[in-house]
Amino acid sequence: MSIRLKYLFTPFILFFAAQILGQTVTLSGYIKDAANGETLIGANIFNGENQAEGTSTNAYGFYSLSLEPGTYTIAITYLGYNNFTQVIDLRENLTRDFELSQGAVLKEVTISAAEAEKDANVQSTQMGKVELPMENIKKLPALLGEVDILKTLQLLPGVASAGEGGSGFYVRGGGPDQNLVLLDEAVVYNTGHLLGFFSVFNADAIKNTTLIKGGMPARYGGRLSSVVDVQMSDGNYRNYQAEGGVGIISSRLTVQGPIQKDKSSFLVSGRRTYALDLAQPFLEGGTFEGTNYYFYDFNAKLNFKLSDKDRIFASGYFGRDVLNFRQPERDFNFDLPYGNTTATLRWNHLFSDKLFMNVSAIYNDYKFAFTGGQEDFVFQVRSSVEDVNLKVDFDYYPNPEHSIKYGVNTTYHKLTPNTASAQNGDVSFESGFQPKYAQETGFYIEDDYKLSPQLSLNGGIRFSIFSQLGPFTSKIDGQEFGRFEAGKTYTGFEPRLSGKYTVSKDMSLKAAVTFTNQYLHLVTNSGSTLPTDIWVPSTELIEPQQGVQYAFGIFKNFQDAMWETSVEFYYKDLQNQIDYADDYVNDFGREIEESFVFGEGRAYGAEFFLRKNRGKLTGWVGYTIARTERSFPDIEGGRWYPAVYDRLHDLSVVANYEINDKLELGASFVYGSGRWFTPFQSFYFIEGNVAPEYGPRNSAQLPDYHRFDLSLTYTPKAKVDRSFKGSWNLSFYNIYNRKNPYFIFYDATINREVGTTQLEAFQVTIFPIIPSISYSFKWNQNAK
Amino acid sequence: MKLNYALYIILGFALLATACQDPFVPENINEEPDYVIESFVEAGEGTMPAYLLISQSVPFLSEIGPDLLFDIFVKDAEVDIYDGDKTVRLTEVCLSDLPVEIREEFGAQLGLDTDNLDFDYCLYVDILDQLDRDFGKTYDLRVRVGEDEMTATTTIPTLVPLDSIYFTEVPGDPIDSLAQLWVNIDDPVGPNFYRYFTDDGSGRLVTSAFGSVTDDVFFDGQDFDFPLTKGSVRGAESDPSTFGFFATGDTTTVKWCTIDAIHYDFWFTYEFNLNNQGPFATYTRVNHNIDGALGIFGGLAVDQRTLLVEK
Repeated sequence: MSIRLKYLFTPFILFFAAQILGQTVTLSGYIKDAANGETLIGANIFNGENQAEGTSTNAYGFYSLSLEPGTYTIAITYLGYNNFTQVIDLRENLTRDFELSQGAVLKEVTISAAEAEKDANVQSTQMGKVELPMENIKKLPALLGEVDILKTLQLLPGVASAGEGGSGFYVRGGGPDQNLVLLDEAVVYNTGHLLGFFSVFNADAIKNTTLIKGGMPARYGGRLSSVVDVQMSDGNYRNYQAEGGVGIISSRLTVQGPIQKDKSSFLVSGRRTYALDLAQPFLEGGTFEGTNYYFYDFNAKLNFKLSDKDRIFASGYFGRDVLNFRQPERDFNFDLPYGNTTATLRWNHLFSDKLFMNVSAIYNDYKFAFTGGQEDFVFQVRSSVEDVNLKVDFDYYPNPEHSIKYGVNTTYHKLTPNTASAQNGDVSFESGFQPKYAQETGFYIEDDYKLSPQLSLNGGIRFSIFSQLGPFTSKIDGQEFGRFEAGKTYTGFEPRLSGKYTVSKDMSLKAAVTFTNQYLHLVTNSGSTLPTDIWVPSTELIEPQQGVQYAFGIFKNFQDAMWETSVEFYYKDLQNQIDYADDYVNDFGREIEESFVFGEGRAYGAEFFLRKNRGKLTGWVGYTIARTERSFPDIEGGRWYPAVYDRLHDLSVVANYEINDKLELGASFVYGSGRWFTPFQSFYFIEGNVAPEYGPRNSAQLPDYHRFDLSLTYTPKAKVDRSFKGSWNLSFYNIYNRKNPYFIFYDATINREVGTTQLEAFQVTIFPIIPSISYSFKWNQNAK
Repeated sequence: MKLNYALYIILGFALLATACQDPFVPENINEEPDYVIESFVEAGEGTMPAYLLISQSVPFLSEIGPDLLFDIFVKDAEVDIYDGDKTVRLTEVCLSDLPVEIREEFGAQLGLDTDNLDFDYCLYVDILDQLDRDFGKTYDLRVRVGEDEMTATTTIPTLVPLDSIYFTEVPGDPIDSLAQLWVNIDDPVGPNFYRYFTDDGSGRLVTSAFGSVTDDVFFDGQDFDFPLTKGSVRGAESDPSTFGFFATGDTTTVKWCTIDAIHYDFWFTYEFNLNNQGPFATYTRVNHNIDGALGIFGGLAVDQRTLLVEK
């Protein structure tokens, strides 16, 4: 099987053979954390005397570096770890794993490059990519003390928050459905708990997060705007370890350790909220006795090193929000559970020291259900997205000039729209909407090619095929399609090209062009990630969204990379964009796609970034000036209007200050232009009620948004048991109590007897200043 | 039940004590006021003659008093309705012009408490009831105000009557003084649309705050029983534990109407618009069916019953 797979992709390899054949020997292996044996993603390994001869570890920690035979000082660098150098006599192919230990630079917090990684932003060909190690994210101020990777992403230029306190985000003018969010390669369709105020990612179980907002490599597909690739920790291969925390609304615990030392490991992690559990005694005997709400997450991962060439990873996530509403007096109740499940099984295999393969089998779903009723009447609504995904990826490292990736990914989608049913005694009825099925397949190949010390290119192409599968009946001609029978099929070539020209050691120019297709769609006008969000596939009635992004950037570092700066410009052209028609009504009797209108979009802007990487004070300033517009023929005759994602100005200032060994101060300030909304233009009377007539779509703005958060982390020195380490975090969200509007509503009070009507509009602020305190701990078996 | 209600409950938990609201002054973007029409042609036993109210939309103001309210009603309009055979011009009348008995009856049908009304309602009525109001007929409306002209068309569909009406114990813990209203209809196969009103306890026929219209997507072609919520004046104070139930021993009226799809679509979008505000709302434009104005020209096939509330 493996041999066949190898030959299956031989033609791709031959394509590059003319350029890449040469007399080289290869150093390959894994780079790991010395403390726990976990592989390190994106660690740089290079010839210490010529940094251009280098590569970085892939998503599984594997590297392959081909050099001419000789003696080299091999250098390895990774964010937050001590530099590693070793002289290696490289006369023949050599497999070598390296281990890095965490170093003092870890204390230089925030999303900082360690000293050894200086100029990585300048040297990398990739544009708009940011890696976020969890250790850095955990030190920023957090709402109610809940560390949240998605909210940290919102502090980066080009990434805008979708709403107050929420984890939803817009990238470079793209909608929330245009972000591909992956957890161990499984798509997470709904990233929010509690209406999006918290993300589903439990920080303790996460190893690494990568955001790609421009120049998306060809290995990623299916979304127009960005990739957020979240990887769970593998589990400690060496020691048993436990960490957790207690916060105002939730507690969490993660346990990990070796199953067989250095060969296999496990990780289990859980989080649950309990605020309403604590309130249960107060609800007893009241109108809403038994009503409760909570959410929880459960992560688990197992890793087995079968041989030097084979590894298996099994990981999964299960999370739910649960609302149980009870009104015993009226026998009225409903249950509303919703959440994601992911399961990933991966096999890493080394065909040779230059050819790495990963095979993944992935299942993921998002399910929503509402079941409610009164006495004999029961009403139920269900919606879901389920994927079964198989993928094969190859990493081929022929020489230091080329790093080639190619593979195929096929996904079977089952999307159940809002299917409603009701039962009243013996009578039952259903909306009759059938699940929609589809197959999405993508082939890709990409090459990171260093043409010269100054010029490098990352070129690739993705070919995608999407078919609407039966059973379904065509709404156009009534043709019936049987199970797995392909109906409407879309294909797309998606070329990706980015290039870097190195002006000097600390300055480069980069440019990228990215074509993308998107076959699954979510239309929402809300600023939150809602459990009721419905994903719909491309069908004979809904064409794929298409996008092309042009980006250009200047990257320059100062003072030995202590200061890092960049300016990036982008322009996006978006076709087949989807929105709700003006008369959209959330109606269970009508398929949601019947409420869609189709149009085009454009987004353009400039992002400015300044970061300080070293010293007691670290942090960054990101500023984006941008426009995002949409035009739909069926909305006001195609008038271009600002999208709800439009933010003319978006500013983030993030700082960390190490007061001493025990105390650390974190701060963040955000400012953004007010969100666009469709205002009421006038009022009129019908049947004695006052109704609003709306003005043009998105023709008014809420007041500008700004907020300042502060946190103080106290980590006392362990006096006796150094294996145990605890820290206290005091956070203030919105410290100057800015009343940012969450939404606007109007209220009409009619006095029919006197004949007066009072009209008022209000802005609702949901988060004033919110202090919180949390305690976190970490126990490590052998950390003496 | 709209799922958004469930979302608001979650939001309520999330924001238990933190949310606050402040006045918001919107930019005044009101353009020229629009004409607003509500006009109905009913068929069925005991129904009203055709009538039309025409008013104008108003900009956002902190308070609209009786004077302004009176002023927004448009006077001196020419209102014609064509029933397929003849055109009837409606006559402008003000409630104060009507004899007391007629005024009270008319006011009740319009949902007005005429005894306590401090201002005069003026409307246009087929005062001699000349229109041929019957099931299955189509009507054309034309309104002229100065140089402005508004037109619309509607139908009165075939009536789908109530097969039975009955009252039961309220759900949950029994309450002797209250009853739940149930109705039964034999829904014909094919799309049908319904609207209903009930007596609010004072003799006025009003709609339910939970919505007044339904289609038959869930019970197409079935013999179907379902509960109806008692109508109430929007914004009036209510007790959640008794809301929607009828007082036993009272006499009440149920007005059950079959309407056409366009008429239904107006009320469906209108009521969604009224109820749909907040952070999870998508704004909805009402599907008005009048060319040149906001509002509705609707035909109703009416089955109206008055009965004693007894379990």
